Amino acid sequence: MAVLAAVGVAVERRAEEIGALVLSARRALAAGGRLRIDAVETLRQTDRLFFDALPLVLVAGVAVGGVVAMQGLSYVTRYSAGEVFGWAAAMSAYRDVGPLLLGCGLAARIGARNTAELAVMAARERLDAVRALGLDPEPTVVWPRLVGTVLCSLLFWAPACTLVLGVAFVVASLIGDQRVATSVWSVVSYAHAGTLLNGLVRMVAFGLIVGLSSCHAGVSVATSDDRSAGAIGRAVYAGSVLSLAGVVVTNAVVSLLGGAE
Amino acid sequence: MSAHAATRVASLSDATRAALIPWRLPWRAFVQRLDEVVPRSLPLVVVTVAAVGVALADQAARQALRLLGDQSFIGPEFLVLGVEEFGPLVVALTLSQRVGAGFAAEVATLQSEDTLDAMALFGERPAERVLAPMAAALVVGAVALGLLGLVAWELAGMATLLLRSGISPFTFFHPEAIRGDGVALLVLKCAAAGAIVFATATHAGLAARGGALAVGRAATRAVVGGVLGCLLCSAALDMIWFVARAP
Repeated sequence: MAVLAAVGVAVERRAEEIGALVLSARRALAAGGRLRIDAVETLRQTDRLFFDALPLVLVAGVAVGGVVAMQGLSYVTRYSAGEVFGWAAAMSAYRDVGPLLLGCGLAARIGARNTAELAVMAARERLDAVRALGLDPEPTVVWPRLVGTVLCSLLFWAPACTLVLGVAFVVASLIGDQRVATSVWSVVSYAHAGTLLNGLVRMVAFGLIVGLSSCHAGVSVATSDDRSAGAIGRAVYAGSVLSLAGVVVTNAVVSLLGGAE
Repeated sequence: MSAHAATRVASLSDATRAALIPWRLPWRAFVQRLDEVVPRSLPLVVVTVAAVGVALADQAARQALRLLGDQSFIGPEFLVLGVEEFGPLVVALTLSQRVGAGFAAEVATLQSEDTLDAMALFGERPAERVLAPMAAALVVGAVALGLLGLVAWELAGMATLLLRSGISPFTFFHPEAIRGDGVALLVLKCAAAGAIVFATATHAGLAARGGALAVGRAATRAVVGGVLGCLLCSAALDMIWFVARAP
């Protein structure tokens, strides 16, 4: 019975979190539709988050490129399928592995930063101070970060995934004797525009999930009795776990719903 | 190198030494840390590994059907992909986000409240008492989670192929595809990921100076460092393995 009760409590807590996230997303989308989100603050946050995450995205792009290359090379070696290496690497880079691992990177960098900043603001009653000035903290402080995260995902997708593909081609040519020209020809011959669209949709969805999870975890400190350093650390941890789980589950759902090119 | 940085390196090397020498490791603390790393991370590891497995199995099955009209070879390839590539990588990323952030926040709180200095003042060895159990538990726990994650990976693949393509789990499951060197690569990758998560979390935690802001910043730095370190390590080990295996 104790085990069942513990499972029930855990399920109830997760359901509460997901419910709060959905309500938050609905309010943010409604506010965005009515253009109620502070545009200047949104641009400022986008600029800050983008340049803050850029070094991580570049290094992660190189590492993911290495992973994609090695994943493809093992099949090329076993099945003598050098002709389709470029196509398979492009699918991995733009649609499957690239967006997924970059989404995890964004959850780590942008998500953790959003949560930490909002949690500190909530713990130090700065969100209450914004309210005291007659402003609503959601459209002026919280949602600009959410929109900024989505815009960053959108802006990072093409350059980051192209970097992943470029690194994969170079690594494959250096380690596996896979000519870069053959790989490029393979992409041009076999790849479809649908692959790019699918990857872009995933990346935007990941941005939305990371933004929502991180903002929700940060703001939730305001409703808690504990506003200590430990509570801020716990909020960062909860936000990054929620972001990661959200990204991988969304990836699975988009894969199941999307077609194979 | 600044004095703070030198102290951090010294603490890390002390902790690593203590974690490697069984009679210097505080076993009770190790078991407590192992409980934090394995059972409490297991639900998240299972969910993330299974979700990635579902996505890749479904895509692989649809592409195989479309291009070759045959899905029979997916089972062994999917298992090898889980053992050598995505199982350890997803476990590493999950550990960075879940355990790395938590350990960094804890060490940062101890550091910013001068608790570690107070322990040293009273003759305790904080590197041995606090950090070494974290190091040992992360390395051992990462390997255990890697092996458990592999089970979740295979079950997710089986369920996806059964429900989406009607492929029987008995047709899909090919344990003979797992090679000894593949399992060695999984264990090596997971152990390396545990060590990287420990190093980044402890480094970020020990660098914390100040109050709440420093704790939040340390947790963020630990997660970012852990994710990057695990990605780079996975790619590097893959390359070394590929070259070493080449005929």
